[in-house]
Amino acid sequence: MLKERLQTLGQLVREGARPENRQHFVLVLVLVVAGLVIALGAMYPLVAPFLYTLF
Amino acid sequence: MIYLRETVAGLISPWVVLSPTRFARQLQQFAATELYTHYDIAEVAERQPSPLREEMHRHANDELRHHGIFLDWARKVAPYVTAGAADDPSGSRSRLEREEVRALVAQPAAPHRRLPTLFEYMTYIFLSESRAVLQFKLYQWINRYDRRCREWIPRLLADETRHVGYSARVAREEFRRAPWTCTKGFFRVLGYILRQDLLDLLRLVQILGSGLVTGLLYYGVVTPYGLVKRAFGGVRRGRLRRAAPTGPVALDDAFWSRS
Amino acid sequence: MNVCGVSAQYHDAATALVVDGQLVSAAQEERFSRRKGDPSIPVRAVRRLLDDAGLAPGDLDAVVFYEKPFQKFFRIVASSVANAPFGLTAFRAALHAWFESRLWIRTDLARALEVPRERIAFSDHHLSHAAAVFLTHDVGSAATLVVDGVGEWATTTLGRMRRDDDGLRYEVLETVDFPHSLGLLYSAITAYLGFEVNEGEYKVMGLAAHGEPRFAEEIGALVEAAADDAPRGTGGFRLDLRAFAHDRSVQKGWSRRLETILGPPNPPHRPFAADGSEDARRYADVAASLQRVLEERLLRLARRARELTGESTLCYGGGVALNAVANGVLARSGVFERLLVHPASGDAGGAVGAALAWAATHGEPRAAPLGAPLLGTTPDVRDDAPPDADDLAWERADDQDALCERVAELLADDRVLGWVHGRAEWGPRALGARSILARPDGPDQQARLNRMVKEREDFRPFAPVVLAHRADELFEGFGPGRALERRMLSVVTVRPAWRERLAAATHVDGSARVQVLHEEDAPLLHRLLLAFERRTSLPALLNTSFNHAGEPIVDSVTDAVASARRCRLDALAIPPYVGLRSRADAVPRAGDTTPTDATRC
Repeated sequence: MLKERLQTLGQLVREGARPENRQHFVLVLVLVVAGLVIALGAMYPLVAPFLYTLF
Repeated sequence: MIYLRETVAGLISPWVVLSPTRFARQLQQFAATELYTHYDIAEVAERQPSPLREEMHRHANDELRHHGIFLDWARKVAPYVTAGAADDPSGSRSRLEREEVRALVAQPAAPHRRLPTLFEYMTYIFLSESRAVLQFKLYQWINRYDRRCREWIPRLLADETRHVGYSARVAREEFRRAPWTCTKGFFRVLGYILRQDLLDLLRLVQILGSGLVTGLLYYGVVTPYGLVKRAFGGVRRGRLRRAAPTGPVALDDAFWSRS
Repeated sequence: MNVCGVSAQYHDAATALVVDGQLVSAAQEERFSRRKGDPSIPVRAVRRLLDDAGLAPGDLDAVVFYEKPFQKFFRIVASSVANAPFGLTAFRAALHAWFESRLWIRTDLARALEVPRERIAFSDHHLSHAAAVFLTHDVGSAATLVVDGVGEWATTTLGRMRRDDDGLRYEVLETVDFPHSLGLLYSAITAYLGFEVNEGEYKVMGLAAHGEPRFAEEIGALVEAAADDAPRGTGGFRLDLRAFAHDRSVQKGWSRRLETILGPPNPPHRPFAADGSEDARRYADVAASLQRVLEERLLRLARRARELTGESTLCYGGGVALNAVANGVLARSGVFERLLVHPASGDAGGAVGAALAWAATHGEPRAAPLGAPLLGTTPDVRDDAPPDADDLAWERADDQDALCERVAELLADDRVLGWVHGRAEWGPRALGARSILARPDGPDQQARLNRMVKEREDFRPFAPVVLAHRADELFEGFGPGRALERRMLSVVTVRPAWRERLAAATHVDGSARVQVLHEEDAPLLHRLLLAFERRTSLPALLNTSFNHAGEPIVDSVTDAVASARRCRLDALAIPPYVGLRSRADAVPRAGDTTPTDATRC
């Protein structure tokens, strides 16, 4: 599951780097990192408390 | 232990009731729970013999009626909280709905899962309904200053109490038939409910945590980024991208594979 | 080659099955999950359609999702950037929705439908809508116009579609991007009028007939149209975003400025009383004005499409094409010789378009034109035993003539009846496969059905179904070839001489959303109408979708029995059976007392 999630995020980043989508590429990268935290928290609720103490 | 969650929820209920937004959201959640219970019980009822089937259908219909009561109540408490977003342009929906999407994906993906026995199901109903009775009684007592709680809750409580009664009766009958299997089943249900409670608690952490992360992200990154971009004319509210592509669309393999 | 189209995640999830280039079936998930507007991945619908076609998930060559989610994500990022710092709630909700479920659609589809990830393909939202119209009609080339809330970026797309031996050709000529959107304008004012978005738009359309368009100028000023001679690529319209907040808020699509212009909004879900109060009049006037502005802007877009493409046929799609009143105006305007609309032109229809477009670009561009849109499942009726419902007394008809005579007798006797026959309809309209039928005359019939059967607002009319050969005698204002009226996609005018006899199916302004019934579209219903005509000299029946308030249209026999019980219908016809409810337990007639809540389930 995690592998598929990472694969999808990789595709998202690649797609975001295409000329027509590049306008906010930096922000997309930041959102992908934060989004990964949200995705992990939602996928593994047991991990969520530890994840969010990081912030 | 198993009633702890409802006790806490009942005790902190004034904090919810006094805020129209929070109260409306909670009522919406109650409404959703009632609706799912309706579907669930109606589905299980179809597999039961008469007269239990009729009894369960009556229960299912009660849940549907409660769903309507909670929704109406929520709409009266905070109309705009419960109104739909305009075609969901931001790509968001209520958390509940999203979870529903996941649940529906997960459920048929595991068609061979073991179905609960009638005893287990009735024990589950008994425990859930008695938890609801406890929570509503606390709600009623603590919020007795609130006219709506005084009016509505007794109507729900009467039904919930009847559900506790018939589920306990059916579970008892089943238990007499096979005591040892049912004892194992009882602990299985208990374990299931406790696990769900733990997951709900962790989900609460997830909601609060991710709320914090997105808040920080929005004001710490998106806002400064947006202000700079706008200052340099990169994007405007009325013009999100420079130019929309026009011309022939190449409907080739690359087109179909790109998401 | 087997292709499955899927639309999901927002509202009205649906699926369509295309086998060897031909559309064989399509259905919305709500029909099986029994949750109205169900947005979840249509697992039940896909399984059912595959079973009916004798296919397994492994037999699918492609599963085509109706839009490109990443593109949508990039648009949301851009919108967040443009609105910061005023859109925190929208941003937060979007981030959760996307990273918790929407982004993973490829994985979720593969997992839920049990197909390899590589077989999941993605169409484009507006391409799916345009293809759903174009590829279900017998046309070689046509202009396309898609107008909806929002797809990936675009809210309006003007283009041209053509098929040749190599496949499908699609050219985009002009687009209008989010947040400028006629669909979202309509949704925002739907919510302003107190109706539910994605559910109440057609109520606004119905309410419009009660009002005068006295706010048309004000609303028109909020939708600035480009000049008719604007250079190619710069046409369309722009919303005055100061009056709207659909890009900032998930709860309220308008700003205080709109309230300054139109007055205070109607609180959501407040029962709408056509009581002549000043507020009720104002809301009806706002609805009428909105409808007028929408029609005017759509006409401009259609003229623009004609001018840019030179085509004589327009394929018109997207959620806004569900507006039957505007469709009628477009069809009668004569801007195009032919106006084609898909029966499920909302997002559900995207599943059909996505699957057909994929097949068309993979060597199968010649889908047969769609006749009557009956693409759903067939009810499971046993020939040797009536449906399992002991609250109805079942009779078995010896043949179809006897059945039609019996049903016509019941209808003539003013009974309200559920009708379940053949494959279910595709789209939101009941076309005589899952319908509630009743006499269309009688001054109280509309209120009786609205209150008792549908529990909905009094101002909403019902639709008539009329025998094709007598349609012109009863109605006027048909579009070219009566193509839209055949699928209940347009609104016509009831001739004054017939208004009394069609009272329950005639709107306050004399209009009706009629279904013109040809024998080949639904032979048994046609025969029933003939039998009813013989008894009453009325060649039309009132035909409304078979569902109770808040539930989707029934699909199976079990759904029909349950819904008939909830609606307390007098009778239920599931050929060859007719089930009768005792008079005491049936829908009260005008003048009867209103039942208490306790009698409803």
